[in-house]
Amino acid sequence: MTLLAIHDVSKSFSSHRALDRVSLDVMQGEFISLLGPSGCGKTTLLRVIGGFMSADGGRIIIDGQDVSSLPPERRPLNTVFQNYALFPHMTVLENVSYGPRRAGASRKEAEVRAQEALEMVGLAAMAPRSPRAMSGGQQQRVALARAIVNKPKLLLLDEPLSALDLQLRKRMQIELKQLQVQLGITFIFVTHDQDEAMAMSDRIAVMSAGRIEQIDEPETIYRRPRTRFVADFIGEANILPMQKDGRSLARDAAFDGVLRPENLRVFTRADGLPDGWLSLPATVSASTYVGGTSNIYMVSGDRSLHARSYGVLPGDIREGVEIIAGFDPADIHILEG
Amino acid sequence: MFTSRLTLLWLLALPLCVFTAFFLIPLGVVFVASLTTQDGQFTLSQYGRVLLDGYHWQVIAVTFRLAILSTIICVVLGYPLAWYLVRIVKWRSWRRACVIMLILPLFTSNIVRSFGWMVLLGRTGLVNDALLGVGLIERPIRFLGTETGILIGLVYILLPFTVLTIGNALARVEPSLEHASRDLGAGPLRTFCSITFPLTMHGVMAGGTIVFSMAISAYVTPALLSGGKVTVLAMLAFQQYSTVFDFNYGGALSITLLTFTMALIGISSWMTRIGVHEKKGN
Repeated sequence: MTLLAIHDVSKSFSSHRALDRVSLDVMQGEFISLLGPSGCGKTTLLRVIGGFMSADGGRIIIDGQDVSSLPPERRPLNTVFQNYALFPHMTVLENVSYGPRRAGASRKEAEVRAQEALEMVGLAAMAPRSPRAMSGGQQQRVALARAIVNKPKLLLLDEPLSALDLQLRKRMQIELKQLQVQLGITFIFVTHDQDEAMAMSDRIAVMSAGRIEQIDEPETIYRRPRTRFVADFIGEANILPMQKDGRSLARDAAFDGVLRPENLRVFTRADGLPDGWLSLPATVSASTYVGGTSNIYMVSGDRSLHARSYGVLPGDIREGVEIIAGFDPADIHILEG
Repeated sequence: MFTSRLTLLWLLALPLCVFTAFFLIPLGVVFVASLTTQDGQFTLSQYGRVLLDGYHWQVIAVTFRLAILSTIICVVLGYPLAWYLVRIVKWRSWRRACVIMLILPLFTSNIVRSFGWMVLLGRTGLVNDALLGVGLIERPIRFLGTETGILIGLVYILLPFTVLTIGNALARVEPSLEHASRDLGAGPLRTFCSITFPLTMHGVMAGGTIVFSMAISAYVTPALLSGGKVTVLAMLAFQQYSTVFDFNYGGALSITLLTFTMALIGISSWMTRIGVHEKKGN
């Protein structure tokens, strides 16, 4: 069942087109990431959905109701803000019970529900504290508790983990995903971190220059990127000139073929190549070994190539050595157009 | 550590000397004078003269009424003005122009401004002419020599202080806090009462305190706009110093004014703190 439907939403700031006829359907209970570099329009889209910004055109439909002209307080959703936006003059409990109070609950009832929400994020003991005296991770959890306490159908998250350090961020990614499954709330998660999006999402919408370039499951986004932008933005990509059928290399770039570094192999002799593989000669320009994986950077003509393998490199692959880079044509993905 | 502390002491010495020489000593002189007779004997009779006289209580009442009303009016007018400047004006040059217009009167002399108001508020002044012309009133309103006239003059001079302090506080309120409030189901009015206003309360208090202490000690504006018909405490003290040359009695009047002022400011800030604590229980 479609919970959120976005139709042809556009938004401009003077001459800058922040959203260019964006359409998107989100299913009930889905975890969708809006992923893209800064300035791609992902935060603008989130604000338009939340009602903090009005779109120039298009419609937003939540659960069958057109909310395009409704103010934020009348939309059936809640938001976790990037800097948490906790009310500094209130305690943690007051922050979390603010939502239920506004929904008409008595003070006592609101506090009971706030306490429940705080328990869910593991901060029940912090209720009487001031959010100003808390660590970033704790504030993050309070913001989360405040946003889920009213049990919204849709939760918007604006780069909620970006201010946390790497260790904590990894842990929160897992917790957030578990919480989403447990509550069955639809999440729309804005991030510029592709690993984060990959790890958590059911589907990822990759955005660029105000448009959604591709929306698919993480694996499809990685294996079958639709555009050059998606191929470059998600993971690393070797772009090779291919014939349309993807079976052989082309002399003058006909079609762009995307080959991920882990699918490119390095051979010292041409006869080591398995049957049916394609190859091109290259010169090693650099190599690195990082905790379990090795990277080999090569130059082939005016093209730079990147191969990744597990384990330590053989000793004879050094800078300046002529080698043969080979790959199975089944691993290459031809970009449309 | 030793040298840096010594340097610090030297750095502090100058402002400390200035403060002592120009603030504490004159205040001390006034205080000592208020407690002595003209030939230097200790006495409390000056305070007796001030506090046991019904007329003085009447003057104190007028003084405080004017100061409290100016403060309230300045805050009530200043808040929307500050809101306009900080939240509504998008064009930076226009905002700058507004701020300059607001503080421009502060560059001219207090006396010039008060005479300006005398011209405007007079029986045949611009204000009465306009009101008569539009047909809102039938006979000219008497502003000069009334508390209303003085109030207009005081609010005009003191309004910039509340606009600037409240504006400053408003500009520091994160927009995302108001968004969060709206997101959690609060309408614009509820958001203002629960989030924006409490977060700008310190600006309101700061502006209010400045306005109150300046209004209560104001001399020029009440003296010129009263036409001798309304008297405030500062005018009485000035009279004693400048015409009667009774420094002891004048000193007692000044110290009385200071004491009442401090007490009122103390009570109001204490009440705000209590209010904040009450709010915590909400």
